[in-house]
Amino acid sequence: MQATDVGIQDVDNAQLIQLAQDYMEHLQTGENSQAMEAFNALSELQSQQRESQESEQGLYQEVGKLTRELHESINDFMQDSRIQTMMSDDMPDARQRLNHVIELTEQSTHTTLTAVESSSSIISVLQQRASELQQNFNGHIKSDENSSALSGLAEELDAFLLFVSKDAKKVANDLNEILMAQTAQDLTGQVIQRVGMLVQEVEKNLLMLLQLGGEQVQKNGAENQSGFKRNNSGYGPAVPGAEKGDNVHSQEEVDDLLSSLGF
Amino acid sequence: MMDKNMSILVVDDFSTMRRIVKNLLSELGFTNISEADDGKTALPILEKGGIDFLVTDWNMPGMPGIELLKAVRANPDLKSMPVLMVTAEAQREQIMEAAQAGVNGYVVKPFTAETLKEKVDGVFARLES
Repeated sequence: MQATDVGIQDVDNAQLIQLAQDYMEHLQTGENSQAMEAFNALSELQSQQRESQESEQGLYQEVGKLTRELHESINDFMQDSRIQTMMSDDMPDARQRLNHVIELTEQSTHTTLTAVESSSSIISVLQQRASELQQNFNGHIKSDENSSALSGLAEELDAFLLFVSKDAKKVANDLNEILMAQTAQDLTGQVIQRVGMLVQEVEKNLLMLLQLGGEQVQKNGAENQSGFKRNNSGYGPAVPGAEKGDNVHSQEEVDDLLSSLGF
Repeated sequence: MMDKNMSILVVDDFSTMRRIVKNLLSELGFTNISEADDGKTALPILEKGGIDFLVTDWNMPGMPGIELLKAVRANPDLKSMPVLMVTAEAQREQIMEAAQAGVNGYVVKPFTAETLKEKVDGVFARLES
């Protein structure tokens, strides 16, 4: 780039010199109109040179101004105390909260599956026994035409066994529905994992930006309040490892605290 | 042949999904089921021998299902093992990659019990023909 600049300058200077010489020569030979032409060309070339120098300067000034403005913007951004709190408290907790969500849904799903498995096996036995009983029943007691009282009971029992068979099947189907609905824990868990990775990326980049401005970020302990607590909206569920303030861990602790205060 | 007593390995990093698949397979009559939580832990189990059918997820942190599939196909002792993928991965190019790597069936999550039965049957029907 520089070589070319010098080259252009050389050419321009050579041109200036040439035009100056032409001017002198024409003056000396009395060719006044040609002298005037040479003079005008010389003047034109010189002002062009000056213009390009000025515009270059203008460009540097503009870049300088933008750099200052950018620096001020970054400073203002980082002075914002909200950013400080976010970086020191909220961001490190975000991933823990997301992981906690996955753990909670996993536990809940396993509990549900245990209940589903247990109920399914009970229903299956019920279906089978009702069906067996009905077959035996139809074979024996119904064939006894002599007892009319028994016959009435037989009708009822027959109907009941049929009812149990059908409804047991419905329950079995519902339990299957509950089973399949639990697949959502896997899908939501996978989505949450990816959000967690995104949060980590954002945190990393924000940290770099802060360090760029020379700000130190300390990760504060449980004594500090979360930036998210506004008005009286509370802290949300306690997340192990990301606990804010001083929270209890069971109903027992609540009761103990209240009774110790005299309630 | 689809022997109800065949030994099945279910691989997924979510324990809840493994449990659901195990339940569904047991409803279809398959009760000889073992589990692994990653391609990395599944491969040694397969290499040890004794598994007749592999049901695997794709997205797992250590070794993804596609790598497990390729490892199985590359192993002379395992290369003809029937493999069913059960996964949330639904990009066309992934499905094609699995097919090219030799998967026998591909179930996309969320799925129904009927779909799983259909695909399991399908895997063995195709193998028999």
